[in-house]
Amino acid sequence: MTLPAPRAHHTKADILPIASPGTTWRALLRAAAAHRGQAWAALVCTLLSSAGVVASPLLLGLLVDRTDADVSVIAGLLTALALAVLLTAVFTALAQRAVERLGAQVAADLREDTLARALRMDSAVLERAGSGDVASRVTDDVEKFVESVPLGAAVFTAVVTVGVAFLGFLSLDWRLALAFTVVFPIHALALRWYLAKSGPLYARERRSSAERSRVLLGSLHGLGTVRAYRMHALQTERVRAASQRSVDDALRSLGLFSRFGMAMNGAEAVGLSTLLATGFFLVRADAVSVGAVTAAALLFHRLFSPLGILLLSFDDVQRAGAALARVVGVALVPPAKAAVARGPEGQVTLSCAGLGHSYDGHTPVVRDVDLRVPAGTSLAVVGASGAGKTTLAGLLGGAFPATRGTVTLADALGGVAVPDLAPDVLRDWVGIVSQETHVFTGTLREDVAFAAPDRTDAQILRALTDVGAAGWIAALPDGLDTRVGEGEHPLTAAQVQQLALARLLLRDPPVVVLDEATAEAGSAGARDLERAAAALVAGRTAVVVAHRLTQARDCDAIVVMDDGAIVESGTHTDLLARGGRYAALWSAWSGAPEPTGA
Amino acid sequence: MLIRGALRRRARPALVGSVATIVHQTCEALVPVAIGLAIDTAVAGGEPVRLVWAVAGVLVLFCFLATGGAVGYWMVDAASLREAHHLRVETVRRVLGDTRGDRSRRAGDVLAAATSDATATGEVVRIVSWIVAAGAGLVVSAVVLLRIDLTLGLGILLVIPVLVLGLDRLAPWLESRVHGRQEAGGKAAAVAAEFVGSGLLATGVVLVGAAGIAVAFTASGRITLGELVVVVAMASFLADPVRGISEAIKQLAVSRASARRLAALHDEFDAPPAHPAEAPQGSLTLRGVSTGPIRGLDLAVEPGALIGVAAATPEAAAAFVGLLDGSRTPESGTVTWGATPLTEIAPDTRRLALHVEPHAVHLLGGTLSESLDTTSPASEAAKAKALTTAGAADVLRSAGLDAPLQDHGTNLSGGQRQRVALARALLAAPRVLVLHDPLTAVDAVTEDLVAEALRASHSGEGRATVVVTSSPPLLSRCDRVVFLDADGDTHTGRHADLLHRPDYAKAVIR
Repeated sequence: MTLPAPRAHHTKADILPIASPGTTWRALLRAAAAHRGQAWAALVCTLLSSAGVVASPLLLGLLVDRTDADVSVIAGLLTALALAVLLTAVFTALAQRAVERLGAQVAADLREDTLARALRMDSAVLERAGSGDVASRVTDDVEKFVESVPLGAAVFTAVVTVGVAFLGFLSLDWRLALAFTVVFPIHALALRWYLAKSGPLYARERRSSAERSRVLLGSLHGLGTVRAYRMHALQTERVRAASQRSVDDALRSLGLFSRFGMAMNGAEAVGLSTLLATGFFLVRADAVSVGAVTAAALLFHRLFSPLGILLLSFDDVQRAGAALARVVGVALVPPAKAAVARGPEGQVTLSCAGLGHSYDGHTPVVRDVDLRVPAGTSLAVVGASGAGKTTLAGLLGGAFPATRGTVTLADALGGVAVPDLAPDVLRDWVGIVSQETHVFTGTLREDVAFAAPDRTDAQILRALTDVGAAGWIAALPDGLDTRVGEGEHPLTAAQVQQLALARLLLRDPPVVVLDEATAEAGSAGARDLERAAAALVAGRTAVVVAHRLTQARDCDAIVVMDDGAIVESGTHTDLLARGGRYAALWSAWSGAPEPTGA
Repeated sequence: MLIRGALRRRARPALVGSVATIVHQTCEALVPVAIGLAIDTAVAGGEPVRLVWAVAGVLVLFCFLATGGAVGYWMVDAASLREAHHLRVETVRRVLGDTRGDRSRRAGDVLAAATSDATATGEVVRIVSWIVAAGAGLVVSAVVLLRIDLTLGLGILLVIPVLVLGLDRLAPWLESRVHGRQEAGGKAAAVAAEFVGSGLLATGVVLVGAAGIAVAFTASGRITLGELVVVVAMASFLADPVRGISEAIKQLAVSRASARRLAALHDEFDAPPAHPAEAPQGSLTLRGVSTGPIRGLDLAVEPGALIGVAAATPEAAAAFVGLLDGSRTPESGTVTWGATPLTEIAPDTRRLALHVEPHAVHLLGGTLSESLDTTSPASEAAKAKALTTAGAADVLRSAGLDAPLQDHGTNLSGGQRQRVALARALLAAPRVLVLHDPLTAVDAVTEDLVAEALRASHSGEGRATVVVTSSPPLLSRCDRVVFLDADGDTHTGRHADLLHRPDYAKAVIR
């Protein structure tokens, strides 16, 4: 089965570096330091809020010991308690906002930074790593980190609160503080058990929910087909089964989570009992006051929720940390060495030698291709489905680098290897129209001119006229302002291709690669597209992957591909005269028993 | 209305879950009581046996607390998940099985409805259970407080409802901000954050007031030391259910907005009817049909025929296909099956008679074999035969029927996808199969082979095929070809004979 080029799934291990914990922390702190004022505000607010949380049980303990003291002392303690409670409320709200805002800013900085790094990355490194890895780092991993920001803020607050609370215990009595620590080993054991089970369970849940979305989206995109066949019963059942699987997996995770919750409650029970028992004996030995024990018990009670947050979010935090390490890792890749950043001068000759490509590392899809397309001439590539035409077109157009050999472009100033071209000038040299083109949601004008935004309406209309689209666009009520894209004005496959060709015409690269630009249209529409493609090819260096052999006939040279290699090459007339594979194709195609030169 | 249905369907788990959560909440509320009791009876100079009782009490309390929490959480969340699943499948069933077929909903909108709106609506079970359980927590606290001191308890209990009602009053306003567009969620979250702040402040005020009065009462000997601890801890515990309820009310607003969107979508699509038993009698006839660029078209598709339709313009070809797939109604003339106009036959019945394969290929299912299934199951042999007829034997050979299809066939080339779709159409075996430019992405040699196989499959079978194309290999194998010329007039004959017409030759020779 032939795999169309750019979608091949990469399952390789990470080749891009992953930052060490130390580097990750430093990167995070550096990013936070860039917003110094906000970082301080967040820290101070959190400390004050935690201090308030800890202060009220301590003040209550004092009150318990002083109920027999005079009114002024009690009034003073009460005022302090009131202040503590009010300040806690105010600073908790402020701290939450400050930490979240800081987190959001840090995440935005990291996203921008990583994207910039990835764009400057050496394309060889990029290809070795697989574009999938880089893409998932700058999208999924950054997203994961951004999503974890509110949680991270809560965890930060909880850590500070537990820390301050420990100081609170120490201020009461060191033995009470020691009694409090009895919960930690229990929590650690429960956490270890939980994490060992939760990792695989959650991974499975994510997989099945991704699969559910995939089946669902596939069904909706194929809605026309489902309705045409009235196969909704079967397709609904497919969606139901996928959704049921994801529910089952979610329930499994839920069960584990419930049991972990019980384990936490167990730790709380043990901790509270230990504190009360320790307090009992300490009070009996007259080592501490009843108020101190009361304060300790209440303080422990106040810690139930921050401890819970810490434990329950442990694996989320771990995951966010792993995502962050991968994001920061992108920054560790050295930037690309001096890429060629100049545009082309005049016409360009395209050539390649020993070009080969394999998606999986051992099955070659393109092998040993030597080609030279002199400036301003056109070359047709023909061959059966699966012969490697699309892959060759992708390699020549610079869509992805070849695993063997290189593609060279030569203009008046000399030759340039395609992989050396800076990404932002690559499309000034060579443009591609592939089998599957897309319409972006927006107006027709935006859709055609997005690659060359400075073009005037007159230029846009001229390009659309050249590709034969002027007629139907003029017939639209809003003309160039008509909105196209999903759910907007519908376009036929042929019209979408015309727009893609017009886009390229506007960008005006000296080299164009057309990969079966006429395939998806009906045959009558295909002839219009053929004319449109001809307008694009004229005066440019062109490689045309053609199903329609009339298109091949009009090219200056033709190569025939089979099983990844070039098996015949020459002009139309030469190849017909040779009576080989091309001649057979031509005769089947034209329905003519005798090959005709015209 | 969807929400009421959801609660009715999930009544039992929601009820059990609520009761378990109430037990959990009650125990949570009793933790400070237990602490106070332990301090009063044991720590403040009690005998060691009192300590044993206190610790035992704490452990028993936590047993109930933990079990109630785990059971309640599981029951309620599971019910929400199952309800979301139910709503999702129902949405998909309606959208996919729709018979009216004239609404162009964006796939993204439906996807959002079937995922996030279904989930948010299912959440209603959880939210209502929360509100019930948090309310119960409030009641327990109220009883405890009232038993300690009537005045103090009443004071706290009067302030709490004012807070809750105040938040409730604000909820509709909040809902109107969240409703309409889920993307505005960021704004809504910011607004919600303001409320968390105000909730904290309000409960803080209650706590301080309660603590002040309680200490004064303790000083005057009206309540004991332990009771002071209980009152203060209870007042701070009250923050949780109050905040829980206000949070739940906000989420309820989101769920209701989602349920409304989902209900609107459900109303838009009919629930699909059950499948009919058999194909209608008769055959396809077009009599004097004019529509768009077509004028006075007559065509009778007799069983077993292979008929080509070639058009001078793509518009005429599209109009012809539109007449048969039901997206176009004739301006004059009739399109009938037997004696019945095509548009009056129910879609499920019509499909058995006539299937129009869409030109844009969408393969469904996770494997090559699954992608060939439509309404009735086919044997592996039948599938292999259909693939071979459609010229897709190479796909079958290289990967096998169980080969996975990545993202619905993107790991196949455009030509391979077209041929698999053709095999699927052949397997569906309608009485009349309409193909629109079926082989445009297929190379010349394969195209010729498929055309021949298609011809061969027509000998002796009662099924007819109408192929709308300008491909000479296909047209040359048709029993007859209907040519729609540039003026919309029709000319019928064999491919070879029609080639004498210059406009036909121009339309089909490439």
